[in-house]
Amino acid sequence: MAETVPSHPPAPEEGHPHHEEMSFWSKYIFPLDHKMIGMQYLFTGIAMAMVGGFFAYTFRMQLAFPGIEVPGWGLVSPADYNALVTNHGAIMIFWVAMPVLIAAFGNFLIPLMIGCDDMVFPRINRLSYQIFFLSVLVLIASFLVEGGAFGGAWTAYPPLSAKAEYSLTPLGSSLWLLAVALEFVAFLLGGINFITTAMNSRAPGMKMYDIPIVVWMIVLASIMFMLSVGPLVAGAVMLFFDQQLGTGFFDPARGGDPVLWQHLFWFFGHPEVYVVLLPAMGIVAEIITVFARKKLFAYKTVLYTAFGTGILSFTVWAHHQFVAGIDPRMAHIFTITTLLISVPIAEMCFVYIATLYGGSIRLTTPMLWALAFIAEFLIGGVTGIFLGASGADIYFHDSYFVLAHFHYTFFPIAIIGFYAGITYWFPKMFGRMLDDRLGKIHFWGTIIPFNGIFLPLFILGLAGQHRRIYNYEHFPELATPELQALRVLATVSLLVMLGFQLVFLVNFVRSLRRGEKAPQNPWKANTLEWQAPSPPPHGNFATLPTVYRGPYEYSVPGRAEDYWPQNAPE
Amino acid sequence: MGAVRRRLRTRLAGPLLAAAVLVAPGRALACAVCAAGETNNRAEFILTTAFMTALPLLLVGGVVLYLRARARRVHGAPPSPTSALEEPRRVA
Amino acid sequence: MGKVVALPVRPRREPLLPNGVLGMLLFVLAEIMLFAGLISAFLVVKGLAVEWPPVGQPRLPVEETAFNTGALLLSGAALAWAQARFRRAPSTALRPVLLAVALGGLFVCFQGVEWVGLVREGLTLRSSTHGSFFYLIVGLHALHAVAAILALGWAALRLAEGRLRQDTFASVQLFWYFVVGLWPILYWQVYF
Repeated sequence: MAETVPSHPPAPEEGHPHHEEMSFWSKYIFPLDHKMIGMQYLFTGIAMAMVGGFFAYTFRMQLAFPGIEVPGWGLVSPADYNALVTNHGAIMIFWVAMPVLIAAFGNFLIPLMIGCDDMVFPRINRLSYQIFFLSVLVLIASFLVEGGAFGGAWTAYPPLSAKAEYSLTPLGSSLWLLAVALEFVAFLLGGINFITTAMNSRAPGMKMYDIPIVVWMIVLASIMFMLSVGPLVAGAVMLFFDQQLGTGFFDPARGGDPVLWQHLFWFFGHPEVYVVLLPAMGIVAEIITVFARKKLFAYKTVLYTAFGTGILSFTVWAHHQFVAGIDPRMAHIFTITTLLISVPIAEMCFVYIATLYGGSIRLTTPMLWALAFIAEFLIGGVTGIFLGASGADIYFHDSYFVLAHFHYTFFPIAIIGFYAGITYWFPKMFGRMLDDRLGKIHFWGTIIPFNGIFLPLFILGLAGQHRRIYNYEHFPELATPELQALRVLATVSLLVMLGFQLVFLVNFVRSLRRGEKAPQNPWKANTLEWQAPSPPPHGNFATLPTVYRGPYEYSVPGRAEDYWPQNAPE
Repeated sequence: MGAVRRRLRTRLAGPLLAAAVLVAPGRALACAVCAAGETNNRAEFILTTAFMTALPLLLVGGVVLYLRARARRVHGAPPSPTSALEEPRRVA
Repeated sequence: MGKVVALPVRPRREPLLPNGVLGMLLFVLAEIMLFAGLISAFLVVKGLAVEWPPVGQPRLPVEETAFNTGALLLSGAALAWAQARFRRAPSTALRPVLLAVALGGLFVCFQGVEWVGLVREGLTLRSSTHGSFFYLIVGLHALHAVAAILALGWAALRLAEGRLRQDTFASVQLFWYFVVGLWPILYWQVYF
């Protein structure tokens, strides 16, 4: 929340004689500065991640120990369970992955990395966060209204989501939909800002191929978001009309078509996966080159594979409807495109591995996260190939195999990508160093239990366990002690992992106050944000930089230093 | 003779495979609840799917081409996309 | 608040498109996708129906709307004319801009009258998917038209004060051309 923004040490005044003193309100609550808006998104995202994590804890406890009084929640009723899984999914994607990866890092990094003083539309940027914050409030309100929060799964398929007789949440489902729609508007405004800024405000001398990969990735993700979100907004308006005004867009009894929603939803929903994946990939690219002290292997290949991913991502969405009665000819084509899209992503992973090859690797905390991202994301990518094949998908559909698969993609994206980014840019954001030892404890305490949570779920899925079941005791073939032991293993791993997140919080808060002062360029990196003071003052640079070379000139032969900042004339 | 047949086979293989991929699965529609079967709805689904897939790519492609043409008009020559990376790197 | 001052003046990038125009272009692209989604949904549901318009539902007033379409297209032409005059002498562009606003206002008012007639004939939001889609798609377009007319009115005000910049004018024009250009497609898809 905006109120939790901590007060970090005042920005260094040197080089900024005209820095204006601003009131608390205009500096922290209604800022125009891109860095502060990024912070607002960051802290809101972290707060929402805690909510989403708490939900996961509650329903995992119910699954491992059915009927238990969950500490902190109480008895989980079936309606509670549905609301918890629905909102866990929605929160983690729309209110954690999007705000943290795109909005927080995008806002903080884009102007700094392209060497300008702010976004081109600072007021629209502020409006974007305010709408986003409103969407958070609406989402929270949906838990407090009569009938409870929406429980029709984060994909909100009608008729369950369209009719209060089925969902039993007459207000909760509409508020949920409203929150999602507001969130889209917020990111639409943010995305327009990112693209325009990156196109028009680059530092003199910065050509297309001098833009750091992470900026490219956030811009591409914004383009994809903008082009895919329209149909879902259309669908959301139609669903809202069905819920509140009694229309029959998705009601087959009145001439509507329920499968239509699935198309409108996934037309956005699948590009969305790549919308959050690309920024995470970009963050990893920055970290890997810096800590391998080596030029990024094949900059242009990364860029073109990202373009390819963007193009292909618009051609795969119907693989979510293989069992929804779509035309098998369509299913066939979508199988092919789905398998094709693994090619550019695999290529990016290979490029990152090739960057590591022969580098002088430094296993700092951000580097560990970046390496873990590649390793864990590969598992998610490979298991996706089974699901992309329309034949195999009929068996796997809606099983825990799917669930484990997308958690192996989304966890690396949203959580590992976030930790990689925050541990890398923390010194720049707050002007203090994070504790490396605590960082490593937190790393291993997150990665090992993470695999402990989701590897058992693959096995459960292969055994035929459906998603979205409140209690498996009523399914004789799923209630065996062996399968229950796997459920308990997953839940215990989750508890361990959540426990280790406290290490991060302690590290974060302690470093904010008492961390070692960060130098301007602690990692000896080339990109422009490290050439600004830590933390950058209002206006970012004492003199706006001029760019002379690409962002990844590490270990250039013949130079005394192994890095070569983009703005250094010689 | 064999060579001709082989060439014919390789030339036909592509279109035949495409036809098999596109047409054959149509026989496999086994949806118990889809009483409609061969209505306009199916045709419209395929049509709109193709439309919605192509539209974003056409829009972005159009904007990129427009910007390129504009760049050419404003700056005279098209900026060589690789000029940034292929400047000679002087070794200090 | 705002920008930090006293930075050394240095050659800045000459943008290919001014910020406002590029931002509006991106917004229009997202809007096009929104309407593409609605049209696709409409076609899919229409394909499901045995008869269209559904039994007992009125036919849409194709002929009257053709006149209305003409008014909207003329308003787009008036704005293009305004741009041509703006380039030579900005003050002479005021009258064509006001003409465009008036024609756009005529379009919206005419549509309101048409809706009253249709509701009387039994076409409502709830009467059938036909009615639902008609009011949703055409209504959403009308909302955009109203927003665009307000933007044009604001631009006319700035023009009268002599404070309208070319890039601001261009971005307002872009939005109006989107509203005008979208309409024939909606007319063709929804009314016929």
